[in-house]
Amino acid sequence: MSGRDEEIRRLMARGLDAYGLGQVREAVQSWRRVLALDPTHAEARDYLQAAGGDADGAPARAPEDADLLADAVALLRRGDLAEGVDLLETLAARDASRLDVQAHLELGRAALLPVCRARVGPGRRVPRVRIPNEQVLRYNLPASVGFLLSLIDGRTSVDELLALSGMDPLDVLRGLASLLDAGIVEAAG
Amino acid sequence: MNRAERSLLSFLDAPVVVGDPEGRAVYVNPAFEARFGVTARDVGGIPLAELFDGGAREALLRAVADVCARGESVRFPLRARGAGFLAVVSPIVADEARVGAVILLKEEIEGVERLLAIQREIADPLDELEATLQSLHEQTGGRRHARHRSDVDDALRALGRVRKWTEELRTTLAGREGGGAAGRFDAAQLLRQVADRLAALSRAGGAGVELLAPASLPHARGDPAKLEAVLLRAARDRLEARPAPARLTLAARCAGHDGARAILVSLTERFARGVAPAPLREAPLAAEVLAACGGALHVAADPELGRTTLLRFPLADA
Amino acid sequence: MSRVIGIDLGTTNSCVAIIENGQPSVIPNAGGYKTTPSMFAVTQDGKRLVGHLAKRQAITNARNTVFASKRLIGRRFDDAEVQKCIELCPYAIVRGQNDDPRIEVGGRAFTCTEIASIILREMKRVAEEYLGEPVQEAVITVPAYFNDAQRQCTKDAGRIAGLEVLRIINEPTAAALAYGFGKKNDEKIAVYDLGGGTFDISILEMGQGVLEVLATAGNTFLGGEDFDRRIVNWLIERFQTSDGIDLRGDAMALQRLKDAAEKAKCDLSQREAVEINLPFIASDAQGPRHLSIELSRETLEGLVHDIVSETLKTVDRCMTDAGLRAPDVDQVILVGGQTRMPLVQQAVADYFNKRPHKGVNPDEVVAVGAAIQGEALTSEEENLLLLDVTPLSLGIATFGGHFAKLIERNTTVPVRKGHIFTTTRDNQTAVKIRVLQGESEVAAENDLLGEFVLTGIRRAPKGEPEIEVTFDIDANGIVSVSARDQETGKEQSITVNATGTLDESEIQQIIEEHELYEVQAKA
Repeated sequence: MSGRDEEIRRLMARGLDAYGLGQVREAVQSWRRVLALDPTHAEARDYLQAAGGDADGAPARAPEDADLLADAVALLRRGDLAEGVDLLETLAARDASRLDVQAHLELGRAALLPVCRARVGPGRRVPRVRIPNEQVLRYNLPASVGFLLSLIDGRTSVDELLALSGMDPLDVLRGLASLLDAGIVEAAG
Repeated sequence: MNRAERSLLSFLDAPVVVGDPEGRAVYVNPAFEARFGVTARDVGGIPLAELFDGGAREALLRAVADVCARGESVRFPLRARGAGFLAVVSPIVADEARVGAVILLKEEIEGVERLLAIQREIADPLDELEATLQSLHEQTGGRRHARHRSDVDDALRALGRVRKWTEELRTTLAGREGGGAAGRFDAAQLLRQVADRLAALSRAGGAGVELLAPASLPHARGDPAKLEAVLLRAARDRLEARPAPARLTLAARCAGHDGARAILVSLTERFARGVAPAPLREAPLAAEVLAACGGALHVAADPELGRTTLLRFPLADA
Repeated sequence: MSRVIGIDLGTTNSCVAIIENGQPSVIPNAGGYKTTPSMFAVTQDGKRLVGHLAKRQAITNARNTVFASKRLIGRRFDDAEVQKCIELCPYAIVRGQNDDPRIEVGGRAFTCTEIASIILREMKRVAEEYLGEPVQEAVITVPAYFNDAQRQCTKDAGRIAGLEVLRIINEPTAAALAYGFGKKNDEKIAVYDLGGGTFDISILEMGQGVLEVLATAGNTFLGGEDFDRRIVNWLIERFQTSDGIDLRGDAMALQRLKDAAEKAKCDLSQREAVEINLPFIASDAQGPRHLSIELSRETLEGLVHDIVSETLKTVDRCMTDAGLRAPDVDQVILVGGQTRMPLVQQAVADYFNKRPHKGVNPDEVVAVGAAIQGEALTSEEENLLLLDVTPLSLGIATFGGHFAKLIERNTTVPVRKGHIFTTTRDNQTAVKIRVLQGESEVAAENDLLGEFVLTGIRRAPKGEPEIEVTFDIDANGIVSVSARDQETGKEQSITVNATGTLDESEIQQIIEEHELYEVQAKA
């Protein structure tokens, strides 16, 4: 299953869970995000229609980017920084000329940076791969995280990875955080 | 320096800095402030050496020492902030007959377009000359003409050197066409320079500046010196506001795909609840920089998330 | 007494060695590697990296990573070699105030001497960590064709790095020393040096305690990295065929490909085939993509065969210059890591019809030789001392653009020779002398070493005043000039402007600046 398919599957499940708990607004947001990733997703469209459109009772329709931008800002304000930034990145990838989206993305990234830094820990920590290569291949990792993984050798610290990768520091920290969360990597020090 | 002299220097278009006999900057004129993004308040009392980096610093120190020792003006080429200048350093008598220095930076190349046109005119006769020499080279192939051939070879080598210099002239001028407004820069590199200068000049306590940029980025179109001045002014305004922002982030990244790529530079501040952010004094300057290269400006503010000023630059090679 | 280290300051990799208990010992760095990449980088947050750390991010941070600066040191900005580097290198090379090439990284322009000093400082640090004591003296090697300015800059680099450079010796000479050659008269030795970035072939002859360089040739843009590039291109093409993705524009993928290619190349010197695995090398709508390709030694040899042939053409030229044929050569030495490749070893053996010596590791042999020379300079044992020679003729430019040789190439150093000058116009009170190094009869085709002006000559008809100018080449091959008016016995005032080298104040400034920076180099 590709990274995008897995994300869609996760959002659909989350929407259903939220709807079951009576959290209609959150459910609608999740399904709208599915349509942002895949405008042809019939199931998400059906669920939105069944939910009566958005939580304010407007007729069901494919979410416009303005709605998605509002959703993203709401996520950021709520403290769901990673999700908010993900959604903004999806929107920005669709139309990079939208400066309002890009500007909010900068707000999100600036807010996410200290969170990722705290998750990864002090710069002197040394990450190492804790599972065999064959198991790593089962994960859906983007190429940038794969590149980070290739630099992790049990001797290179987080600060050194930031220096060596040449990547945006936030992308490095997010990548490391995702590897830590997935249990692919552990850090000592 | 008395008030009459000071006001005279303030009218000059060329950047001027005055150093005292101890080699410390005591005055910069408005043209210097605009060109290099610092104020007289910033540089007051700091060693002249700290105004520039690398080779420019060495050259300046040597010239100032020479001028103060000999009491005569000195001219020399100086490269700073990606531009070439002709620096003229002259002695100025301070208190008790001690000698300081006045440093004036003249933009080296004027009439860029005319020079480019002249360079283009040179190309045709050079081609004709080369063809004639090649023909002579072929005609002097035999032993009888060995001495003439040697002369033709010398001429061809000299012509090669002329071509190399005209090509260097062309590339130097082409980079400065339009008076430098449409230059090119690596935004990641530029932000590092801004952060370094902030570290040297910052007087504010509390908030630091975070850099969020990869090691390097594709070159963007724009005037790097002016952009550096804009970012420096913007960051300093925010750091010196009371209260200062909780966090200030300078960021640069490449956005978009294929032909729609652009470089985005942003200044993001997170401020405490209920605090009104400092006014955006740099907006007109930023707009001017962007207008010259086809860029755009956008500001987004949110009471909980903060405020970001975003500048979009087209790619230089697009 | 402080120990003397021998340093091979290579174009791609550097190595440091020392004599311990009478035996040469190559000093490993903290990571256990016996060579350190000659690379320097400035990261996005201004950190300075050197050695292995710099190499690991060389492609993702290409614009701010310096490699092969040895190709530029001691040269002038307009030299053809420098212009070629400007075309090929991802980092910016700009004209410096002394008309020298300077390298702009991390927002600052570094002189090539400074870059070399950073590498040397790292080698000094490696030695001190290993020995547990400070190191202050060194012998540093340079290519046989290095001229005075290049040697002077290398020496200055050592000084900036905190080393007293006891001697600058030629690399092929050092290699010959490492093998214990230099004892049998009339022995002819071929040194085939294929390193990471450059290829050099030198033919040496031993005679009267002197290892004379009969001829030297090479290509400063041919080396092991060209072999790596062929493998990378092959991998990119195979992946494009199998997965439909072009990795050429992806800096992260290229960094991984380059590292994997170099490793595979080295492994294939011992094995017949290797598997190259790069998981998550790319991703598309279908998800992550992995690269898994087998490379055999046979395929590799097919990819690089023409490069090896090219080196043999250069060997041919060098042998012709030396006036020799293959059977005339008594010993063949291999230098440089790339000579570990079986194809290269076989090609060299076939050419000379004899097995080359490879008892000393080819990427360590020059440093070992330098350490041996260092020990000889500081020990009581004179029979180990080897005299070196100046590789280039020294002379002056004369009227009509000709070159008058004063000291012939291959003259043993140190050497001192004088020449009487006079005036060409009546009442001339000053004369300009241009000192050149090279072999051409045409002054303009040789390297300008420096020029000086003799002033205070008494007014007289032309041809009358006699000024004795003395040229001095010291044991490092570095030239100094002095002058004396024969009539009055007075020393004349001389202004010497060396081309491309740093003056004392510049050196001091660099030393002070370096003390502020801590450089990371962990392997």
